Amino acid sequence: MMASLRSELRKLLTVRSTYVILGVTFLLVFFFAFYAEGIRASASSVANHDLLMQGSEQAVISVGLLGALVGVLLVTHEYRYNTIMYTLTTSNSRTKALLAKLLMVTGFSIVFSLIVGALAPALTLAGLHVKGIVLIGQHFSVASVLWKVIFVGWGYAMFAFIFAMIVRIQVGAVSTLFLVPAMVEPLVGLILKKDAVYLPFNALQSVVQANPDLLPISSARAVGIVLVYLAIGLLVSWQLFLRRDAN
Amino acid sequence: MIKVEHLGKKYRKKIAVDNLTFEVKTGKVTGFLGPNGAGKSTTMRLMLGLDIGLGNTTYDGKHLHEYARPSKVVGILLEAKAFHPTRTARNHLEVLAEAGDIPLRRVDEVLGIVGLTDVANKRPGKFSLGMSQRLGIAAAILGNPKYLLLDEPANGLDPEGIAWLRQFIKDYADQNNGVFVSSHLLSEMSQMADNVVVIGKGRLITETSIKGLISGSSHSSVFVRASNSSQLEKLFKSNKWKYQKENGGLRVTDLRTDEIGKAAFASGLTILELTVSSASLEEAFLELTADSEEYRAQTEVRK
Repeated sequence: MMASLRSELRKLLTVRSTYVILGVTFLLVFFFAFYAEGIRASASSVANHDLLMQGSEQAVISVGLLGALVGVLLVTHEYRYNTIMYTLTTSNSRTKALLAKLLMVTGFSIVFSLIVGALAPALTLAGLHVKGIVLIGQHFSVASVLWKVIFVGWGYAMFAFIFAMIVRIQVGAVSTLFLVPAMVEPLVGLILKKDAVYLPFNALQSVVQANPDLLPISSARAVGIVLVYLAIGLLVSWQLFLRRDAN
Repeated sequence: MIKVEHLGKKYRKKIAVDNLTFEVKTGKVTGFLGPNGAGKSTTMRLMLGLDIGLGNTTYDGKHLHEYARPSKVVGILLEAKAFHPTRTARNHLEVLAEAGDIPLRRVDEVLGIVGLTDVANKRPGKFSLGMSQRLGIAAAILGNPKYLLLDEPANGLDPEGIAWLRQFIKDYADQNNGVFVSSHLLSEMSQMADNVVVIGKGRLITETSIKGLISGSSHSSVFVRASNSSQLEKLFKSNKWKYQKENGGLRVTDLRTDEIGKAAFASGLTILELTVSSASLEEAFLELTADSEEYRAQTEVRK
């Protein structure tokens, strides 16, 4: 198992796409946190006691999909370039191979979320400092931000992982990852109305902040909904991985 | 020994592999022949558990998944370009080495063996087919496995590369390893393989030695010419041997020179010529698979 994990880590670190995605992510965080929320901060922002905490959580929601993209590529590259045959023949169990990928995506998403979650408020403070703006006293519950940021980042990565394992085709998996939260859920939401909070990505976002258009639910309940979706999705992915031809 | 038993695979209504049973022995190179679409690649994938199907494949009595480190048991080359194009050749092999729990120093060794040391840090996306095959061979031998499964490993190699590959495969098998190799280059196969497994339309046609395959072909024959051709013909008729007249002599397909020589001597005939003409592997292969070709050009193959 450790051998598979080391191999997955090396896969992650030795492809250009990982660094391109990280670069784009940090550029976006820099733009929104340092420039939009820092240098160009509005008066209402400066007077917001939760600015830094919300900035941290909002950053992970905004770029979480990009981090999840790395997880998609870790899976779909294997099918696109047929290296899956090596992955499956060097491991003596398909379940172990899948678990190694799952753990690597989990590890990456946690590190990614922590970095983004820490970087966003730090950059906002830096932007405000550059502009000489003094921020009002802040409420910042480290424990609350920490678990929410990690859970949302991990949640995105897991949904991405499930799409990748089921679809397997790179373009299809990436499209699904972006289309489901951006198009499918809003369309289904037209029918479900306030109950659309029970849709997977709406529930995931509700962990951090309640959507006023949807049924108000607690963060804990939102976590529960997301976990149910993930459990079903991972179970389906696992079974398909065991039963399907390698590619 | 690799023991393949009753392998089967069906894609919707099409049977790709049908109850295939054969063996791959250690110390030998076993060639895997069949026309396009015969099911060779599918068979190899079934042997490795990459495709889900019927039957059993054991490596020295155990299934591949029963080994703690399968890359020590079998090395594979199923596709030349099975690598990420922007991950360097060295990194590609290091990924595989990590997965197989193989020391990373082995990566440099195999790069040296296949002659890719100079391009180890280059991205393989722009490698030629031949270089890609070499990288694939490096990946296959990384774990120094007991068995190699190679699907068309000579594709894209230049003549020097083919000669190197042939010698490499023979040497690998000589170290009490088993090599199972498919190829369309029949002349190469005849120089390289000890045994052959021939399939057509997913079914086993024959499992034999190269010599057995060639000698069993109707294209293998004996030509005999004697001082008295009419007496020679009488001799053949009296023995009920089937023959064809040719250039003042007779040609037979199912007799050995010993039998003809002894009979001629007993009859007091002076033999002027007694020659064996062996079929080529290509002729033997075409004859065996004539009814199993999935895709056939409209123009006849010139024999």
